[in-house]
Amino acid sequence: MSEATLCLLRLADEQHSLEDYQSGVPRWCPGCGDNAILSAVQRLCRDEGLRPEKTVFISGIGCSSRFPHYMKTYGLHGIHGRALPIAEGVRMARRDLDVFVNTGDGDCCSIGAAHWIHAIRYNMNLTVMLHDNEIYGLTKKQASPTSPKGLRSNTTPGGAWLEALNPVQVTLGVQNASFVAQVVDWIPELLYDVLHRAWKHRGFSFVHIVQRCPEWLPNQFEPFVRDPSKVALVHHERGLSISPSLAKVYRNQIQHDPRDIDGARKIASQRDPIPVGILYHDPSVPCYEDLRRGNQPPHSAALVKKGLEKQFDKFTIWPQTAEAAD
Amino acid sequence: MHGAFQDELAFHLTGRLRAATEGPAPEDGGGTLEPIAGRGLLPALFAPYADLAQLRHDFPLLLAPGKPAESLTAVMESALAGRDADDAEAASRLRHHGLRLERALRGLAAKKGALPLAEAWKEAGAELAAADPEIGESLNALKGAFPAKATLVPCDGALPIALLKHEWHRVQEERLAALRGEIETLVHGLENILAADFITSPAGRSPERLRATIGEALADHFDLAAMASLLDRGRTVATLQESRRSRLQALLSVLKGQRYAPLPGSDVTAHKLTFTSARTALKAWQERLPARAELARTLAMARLEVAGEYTESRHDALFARFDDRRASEALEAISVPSLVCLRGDDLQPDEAAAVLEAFAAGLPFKVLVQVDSLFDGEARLAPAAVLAHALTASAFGFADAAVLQTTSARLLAEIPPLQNVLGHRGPGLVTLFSGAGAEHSRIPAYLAAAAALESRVFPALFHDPAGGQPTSLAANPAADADWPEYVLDCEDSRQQRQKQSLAFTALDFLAADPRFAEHFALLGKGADDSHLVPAAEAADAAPGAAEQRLPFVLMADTAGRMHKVLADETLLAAAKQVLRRWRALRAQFTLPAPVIVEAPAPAAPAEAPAETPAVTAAPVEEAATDPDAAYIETARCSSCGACLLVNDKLFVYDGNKQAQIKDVSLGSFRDLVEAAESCPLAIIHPGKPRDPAEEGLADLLARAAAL
Repeated sequence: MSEATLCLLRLADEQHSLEDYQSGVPRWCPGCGDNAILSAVQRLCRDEGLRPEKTVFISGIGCSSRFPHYMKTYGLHGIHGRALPIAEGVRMARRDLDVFVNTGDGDCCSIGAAHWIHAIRYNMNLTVMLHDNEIYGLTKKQASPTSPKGLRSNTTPGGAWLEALNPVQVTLGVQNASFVAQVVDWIPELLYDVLHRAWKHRGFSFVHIVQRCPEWLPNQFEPFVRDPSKVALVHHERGLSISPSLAKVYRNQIQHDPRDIDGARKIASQRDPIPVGILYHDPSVPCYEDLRRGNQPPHSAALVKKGLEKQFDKFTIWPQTAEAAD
Repeated sequence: MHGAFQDELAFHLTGRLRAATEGPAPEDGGGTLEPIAGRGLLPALFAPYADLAQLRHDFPLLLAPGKPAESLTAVMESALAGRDADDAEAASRLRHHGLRLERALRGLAAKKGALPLAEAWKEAGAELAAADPEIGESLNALKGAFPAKATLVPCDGALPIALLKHEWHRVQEERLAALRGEIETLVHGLENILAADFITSPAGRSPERLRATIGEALADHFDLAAMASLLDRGRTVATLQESRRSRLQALLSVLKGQRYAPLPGSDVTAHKLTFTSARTALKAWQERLPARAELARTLAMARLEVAGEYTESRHDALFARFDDRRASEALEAISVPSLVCLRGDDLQPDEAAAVLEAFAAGLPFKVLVQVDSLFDGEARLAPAAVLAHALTASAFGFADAAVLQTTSARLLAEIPPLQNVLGHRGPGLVTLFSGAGAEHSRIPAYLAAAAALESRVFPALFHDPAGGQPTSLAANPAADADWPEYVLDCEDSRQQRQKQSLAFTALDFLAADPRFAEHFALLGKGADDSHLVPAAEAADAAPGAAEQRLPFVLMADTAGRMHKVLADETLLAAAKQVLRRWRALRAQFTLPAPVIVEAPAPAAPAEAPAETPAVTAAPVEEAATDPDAAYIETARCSSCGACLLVNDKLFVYDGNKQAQIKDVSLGSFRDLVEAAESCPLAIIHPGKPRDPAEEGLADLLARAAAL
């Protein structure tokens, strides 16, 4: 059917409000950075008119992974560390959906690290938010891979032994990285802009969100929140442009071309001030689902049935014959 | 001398040899004209190709289901390629054996016609193994590189239709797979809607249904009736409206019953899409129109249903009016072409009219017109050839028709254009000379077809309206000349090597046809040939010059001796007509010389855009004008909800879920201070208290000052 006919048959554009994407009352602690991420994502859904039934949020385990419960879209609260492979499966089977992934520093960088590395390499069209509060919050304060050296926690009472893992640097080090950004939860405007650009990028958009945990690490980012000079805004005509109001507050700025991966790695290595913005963007990296699927139609009823039968057959217990029973 | 010339001229003009009753042959020339019938003469340029089975060429072809057609030689070459890396001697032996097998297969195909590769392989292999027991090992090593279910097809009269159908199925399969995929997806989506409805219905939650879901083995462990009543109590999902359910079922029934791309596992038979009559094809097309419109309508509705966008108030009326006359755009999506193969005498005027009717209507008909004989016994174009030429000429009149004209000798090279024609959305015409007519029984069809192309009797052309390229004559040899010329290696009477340049003309083509033997006369040894000119020259001569320039062609006998053969005027006239047609074709389709446009002078470099600062220095709007009023820097709010916990009437979220003060009168100064203290971003500014009598004000002011 031609585009013209489709237009003719399409309903009038639907208008969604923020509440249309809100499901239940978030159980995150007051002051938690997850709230900021939730409202930025809901704004994105509303502004881009994402249809709730065509949008899906996949998460693993952790505070951040409660995210899908609070979105009135499709969602799956998965198992620890496996948000990315589930999202990849959804993406492979249903290319008409917008797929978002919410994962935490424990979920992604610890048990899910292998999936994370390969998901970057696969470069499937997913928008991935890594909520990094540098601590296991849901299980009440254990050190995570991104906990800074010396951090006292229930598992490291004498202080963490190792240097923290830098998720942005890791991502930039993997082949086929196509969109890497870092943002902090306490600058809502920037958070929204970066997520918006990440969603628009076709490929694996990795957004590292530095996020406060008011319950277990209330002072961890306090200096950064209080002092705008401890945040550096990364901007470029090909990346983010900064609004005047933001520029007035955050004077510390870095001009960086997001095509420059070496520059991105250099910026990613700095921790104070925290660089925020789009560090790397290469729209030319092919998506795995495009390489694999070509022009094949999406899964058919027959294919689904065949696959299910095959799986069921693995568990079938064939009735024993009378002779064998004897 | 004069007498000999008179004799030659008389033959040229009348086509009759001197009868014995006319007296003895002239003595002055010493030579006589003799009939060529029965001498096994063929045009001299054919001589190197006397035994095609010994020569590696494009044929036979291997046609394997789902794969592009390939020549046996190409497959053998790729099987042999890269095998000499380790053991040069073994590789050389393998190559030797491979080439012997290839030759044997080629010979078998030429003798028996199309046959399965496996069968030919077995027969040829057994024959070769009888002579050389070692060859079996090599053949086993090569077998894996050949497609298993291929057919070996030689260049004969059956080739064009077999190849066209093979390529058509490939194109068609791709096209239908896309349609079938979409239908399957829609069926899946529609069935899911119905299944979801059933699961939430009372029947779907009945104890019987639950028992079936759990399975007999475990069902007794559960109180299914209690479970069913529990489920029923909690039922909140609305069921489908009856109108929607019946609509979904109707859509499913159409999608499953359609015969364009039957779904896997269904017992629906697909529409017949290949025909041997254009009239039948046209009739079938017209009969299927309502079903096609129904399918187009169903697809449109099903897409909306699956997307959840179907609204009865809006779409019912729209789709009620959807019919096969109006919905041409939607119908185009189900453009499943028909293939019509017309061969030789099948092509009657009424069939040609049906083809034109289909083309005029822009129907996606792909028509193959295969001509086996180009001339009748009087050296005039045969009726089928006339109709084929007429169809090609007419097809250009319909702007959207793709046209390919070629001969079977070139078919392998023409597969990409052939696929363009078959894949083209509109009509497509393939006219093709097979060389398989009875008159060419002395030479392989491949040679006859190649000769027709070389001699311009059946020129190649390709027109693809979708490609945006002009009509191409590029497939013709030496397309910018009247005739193609070749250099023939031969020896003279003193056994000295000679190189002779020869043009291959329409007269050469006619000379290979035994029906025209009486139009040629062999010049006896020592005959006067001073008035004879090569056929190419004679065909180009102005009218009336014939008396001084008699045309000859060089022909070779079975022993390889070359003879000059005089042609009569009837055939020369036919050759001249072929040349005129070729020149007209070139004039019509050759592009004028390209006009070279001087490159424009480089424009003056535009002024470098002023570097735009990333940050403009626009003044920031101040949040509050009254310095004593409470305010929130709403834009910086991270939606943490801490202030709403203090007082959710005073603090509310705006449309972006960021906090703002709704009305300061809805809360106390204490609320403002406590909210400001709890705000992790410190963006709440309590201002000055509005009620000077508020309890604990001094303490609150001190706390506010600390903020």
